[in-house]
Amino acid sequence: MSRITFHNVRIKTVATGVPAFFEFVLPAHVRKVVGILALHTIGMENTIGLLPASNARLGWMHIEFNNRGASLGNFDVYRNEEDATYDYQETSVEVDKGKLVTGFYYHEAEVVSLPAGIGVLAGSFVTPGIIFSVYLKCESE
Amino acid sequence: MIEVPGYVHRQFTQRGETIDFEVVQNYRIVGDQHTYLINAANKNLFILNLTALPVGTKIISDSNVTVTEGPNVPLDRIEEYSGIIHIILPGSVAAGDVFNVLFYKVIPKR
Repeated sequence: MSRITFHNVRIKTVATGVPAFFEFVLPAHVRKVVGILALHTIGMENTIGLLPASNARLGWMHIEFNNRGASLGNFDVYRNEEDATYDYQETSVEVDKGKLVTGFYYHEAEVVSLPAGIGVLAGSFVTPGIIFSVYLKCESE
Repeated sequence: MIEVPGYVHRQFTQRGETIDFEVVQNYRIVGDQHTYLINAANKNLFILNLTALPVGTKIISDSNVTVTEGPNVPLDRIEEYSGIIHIILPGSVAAGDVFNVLFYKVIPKR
């Protein structure tokens, strides 16, 4: 008898324009991935300046299953609102036991520095430092 | 050094795919234009000379993103791309600079 389980992976970005790669193995009881959701999870950490607007597109993600044998393609990642609810995008990927799930998140949004005189040095380097999560809805044994 | 054809064939065998056609292709990139686009839909391109590109070059494809680090990377570093590939040269590249990008192009059997 199958049951639904949820798994997630969190990735922290380093800087805009630098991909953050991830790699993990799903537990052996997972048979099929039936839903996926890519979300910006934790706010802009240690940032100065103006943050992207709510629901702004922050970047995109690529994910592959079964040791790169099954590609799910790319997903846009948005800055979420606290009270928003999201649906999983339906997928149907048969997962082979013990095989890798690989992919990366590419952060594109810039954090705009405020001009000097508003408490921030003009032109100072700003690290996005955001954490985004991939949630997988799985069918398990 | 990694033996490239052997490595590529092992990759596809491990994914349960077979190769229909393979060829080594050279793309000439000139600094006059900073963004290049290669259509590699339904193909897999393995870059063979990543060190030849200037520091800060971005290669953005559907399945992989690389920011080059010039000669600081191992000579036999191989990266795989597929889908639409954008090669974006850094602003420091002057007009007239020429770079040759060597790809091992593979078309899998569908």
